[in-house]
Amino acid sequence: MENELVTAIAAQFPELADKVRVTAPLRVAVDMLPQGKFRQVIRWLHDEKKLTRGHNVIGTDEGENLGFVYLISGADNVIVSLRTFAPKSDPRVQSMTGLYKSFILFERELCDLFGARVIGLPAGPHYPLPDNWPKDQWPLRKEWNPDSFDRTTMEYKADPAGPAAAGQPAAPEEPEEFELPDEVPEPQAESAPAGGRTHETENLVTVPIGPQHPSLDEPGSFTITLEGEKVEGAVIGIGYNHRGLEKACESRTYIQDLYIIERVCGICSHAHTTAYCMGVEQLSGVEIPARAQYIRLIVAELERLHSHLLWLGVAGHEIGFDTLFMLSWRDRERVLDILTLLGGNRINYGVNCLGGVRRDIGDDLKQEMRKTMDYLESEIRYFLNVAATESTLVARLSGVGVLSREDCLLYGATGPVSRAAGLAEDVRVIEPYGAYRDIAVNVITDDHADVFGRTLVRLKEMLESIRLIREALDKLPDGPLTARVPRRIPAGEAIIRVEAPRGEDIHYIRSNGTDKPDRIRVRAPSECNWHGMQHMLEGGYLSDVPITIAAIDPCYSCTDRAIVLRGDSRLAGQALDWKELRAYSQKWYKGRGIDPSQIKA
Amino acid sequence: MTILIILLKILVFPGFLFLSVYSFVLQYLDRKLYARLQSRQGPPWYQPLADFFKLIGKETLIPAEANQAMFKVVPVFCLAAMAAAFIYIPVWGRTAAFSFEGDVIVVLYFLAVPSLASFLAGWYSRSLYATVGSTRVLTQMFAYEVPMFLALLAPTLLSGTWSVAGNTAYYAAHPLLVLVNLPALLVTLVAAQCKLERTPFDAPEAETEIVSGPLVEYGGRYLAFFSFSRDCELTVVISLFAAMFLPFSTGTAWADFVLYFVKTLAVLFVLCLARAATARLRINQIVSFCWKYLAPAAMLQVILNLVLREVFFK
Repeated sequence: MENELVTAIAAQFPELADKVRVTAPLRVAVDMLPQGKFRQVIRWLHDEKKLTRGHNVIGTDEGENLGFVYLISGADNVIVSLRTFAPKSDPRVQSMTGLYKSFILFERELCDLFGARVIGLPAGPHYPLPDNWPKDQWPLRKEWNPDSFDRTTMEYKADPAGPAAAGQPAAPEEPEEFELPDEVPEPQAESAPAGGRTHETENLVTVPIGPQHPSLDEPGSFTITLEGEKVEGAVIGIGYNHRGLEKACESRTYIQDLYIIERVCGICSHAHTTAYCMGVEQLSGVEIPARAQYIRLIVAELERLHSHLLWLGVAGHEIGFDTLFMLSWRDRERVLDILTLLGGNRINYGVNCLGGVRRDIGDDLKQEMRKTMDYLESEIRYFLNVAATESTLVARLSGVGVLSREDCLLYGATGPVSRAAGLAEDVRVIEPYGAYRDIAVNVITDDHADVFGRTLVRLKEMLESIRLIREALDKLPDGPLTARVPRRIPAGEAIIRVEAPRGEDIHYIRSNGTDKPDRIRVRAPSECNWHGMQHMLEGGYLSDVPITIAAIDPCYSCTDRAIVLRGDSRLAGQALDWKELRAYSQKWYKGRGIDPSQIKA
Repeated sequence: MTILIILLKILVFPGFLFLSVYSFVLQYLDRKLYARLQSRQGPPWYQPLADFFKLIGKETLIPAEANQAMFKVVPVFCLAAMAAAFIYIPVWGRTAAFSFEGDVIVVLYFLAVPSLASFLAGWYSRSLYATVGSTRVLTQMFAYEVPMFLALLAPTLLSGTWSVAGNTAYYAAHPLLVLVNLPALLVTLVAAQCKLERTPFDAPEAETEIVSGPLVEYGGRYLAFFSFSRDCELTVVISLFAAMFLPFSTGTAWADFVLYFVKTLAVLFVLCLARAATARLRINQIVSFCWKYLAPAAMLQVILNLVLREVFFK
């Protein structure tokens, strides 16, 4: 497939023949092109080859220039990476949101983090940097040094000894006539968020949901314009959690970065590290042992189980069904117990390492897992029965937050959101990685296209995960856990995607031959699900806003549990095993009048 | 002497003090049962009391834009209405502390006060969430008032008396007639859940949507009295339900008093079960549910009772 595409591109653009090549299975890379040529190629690929899915736009620092990498794919799932550049002194680039609606957030990121001037990008709130961030600071440019930036005053103190105006590249002057090439359609005005829209009627009320709101576990601001109970307009402001992970990764070694990547998301920590490790392993040409691949699969599916159970609880809470919330979180604890036994932590289990995994699954743990899987299977079947039949639940979920098949493609939705709209998209099937090459996954789809469909998809996916875990436990091969990965990674770039619980997770890793990466771009699945949010909210009811937001399962940062034994002198300096720890925590609660041992699991 | 007895009846038993204590007990049982249904541990027995006193000790903040007088008066108003309604409901034996022909109507109107109070509280808080909550309170009131009134008045058509105690006495003498009122019983049970704004009918205070609706600006002792009066509302509604639809009694006062507990706890159990087993409906779904199913059922009951009275009881 990828070779056909290369031939087709070379046939259409003969001058590109030596610039297009297959870099990995299902990956086609096109070398850096001047902007005019790039626009011709991307437009042709979009219109003629129907590469209509936009995955990501990645900014890179190329010294004097800013580079832009566009990842697009079509029905044959070959990801084409197209590159263009603009000089840092005049970093103007044409917005591609006219072709790919899902590029809006990614191009905003280019503006905020690289100082690119994206011509034709619809107006909207800042993303991802805060509103009070200085206009001339672009943190992902290489010359920008985080140590010179004072976070309290928001001032950049340029190093006087260093190159003049380090980090203070001359602000681009007012653009001269920028030739707007006619071949790329202008983004339509209607795609602009409602922020700029003025309402004439007096009946409209604006309700802020967030940044602090009981239904949000993570800051995000949703400005909802209401007419009565009907949502007339919605402006989505996200980016409150930007922590500068990508910049941090560039100044650390590959091994140190693993720990940062583990903390990108509180729930999909394993999915992110898997993608990162796969990228590094691909760059250094290491094949990891089979046992490690199986353990990665088992942990990934356990993670899917606990993520979906968490989601089910959150969804129940959003629609006032607290019983479902409590019951599903009770069962989630069983999964977390297993993960604790395996990795020592509930959330950041740290199982992955470069070249394999750090933890082994012994016979005891296997036994424990099988027991838990039996328990969970009956519980999840019960939940599935409840979700499909409980009349108030069905009434609240069906017809809410509809994102049709076409809209999913248009906005680039992924994961359970697109699968609930009937798109059989699952990276584990599209390009099986690791142990998924041996254990086939059945894609779960549904055609409700609403929150109800997403609920059913997630519940059925959990049953599928249980099947996968059982199969992997049965087949678990013997052998070593790790392969050696060199300290210095050969220069190159890797585009890796894995299926996180929330959908497709893409990591872009570029190495320059040293022990530190040149650029890491993490595109979490939630990031591309946000694009359709406005569409899902508008026309619905205020009551449905929380569940619609929750239904894409935006990445909540989970708090890690700290095991601190300070203040209790009897326990200070003592190491507790799992059983002792459980007993200790039960005693702790009993001392406060709560007896957890009475609760039947 | 008689004045003293009257005062004792109003303030101590079966009046305000009994109502307060029993409301705390019911709140505790409701929470405990709800927790156990969710396989949680639940609060210790003194939790409602602890919550109440904790809130009383907290600093009270009143929004600058809110109407100060209304903000303070509304919780007291609400509590007073509940205390007044309760004295017309039989607790000890078949008779209430006070009773007169037509007190059913009075109790029903007193019962409308908490909803109105919650509307006023939200409206005068001048908060966005509270305003949305207030409009939901009123919308919901228009949904359940008619079916609830019709269903509660249906039994009086057969008994021929418009007093709660009179009704209890009449049906205690003719216990089988309760079966005739079965549709009204079911309608009232659902409408009571709606009236008390409990799941699935808790759209007015939907925590995850509008934070907590009308009471969002309340805190400190005003919130303490507000939530206390909502507990009293629960007790009054359950007691009224028991008096109108479950009038089984032995004729001995103390035995009836025990029966009163059995009846009210049974109703609480059903209401709690409904709360644990459902998701919150949207306000438009509530309105259409009430008018599509509850109101016609209540109407049929009224017609049935009118026909029965004309045919059999003349």
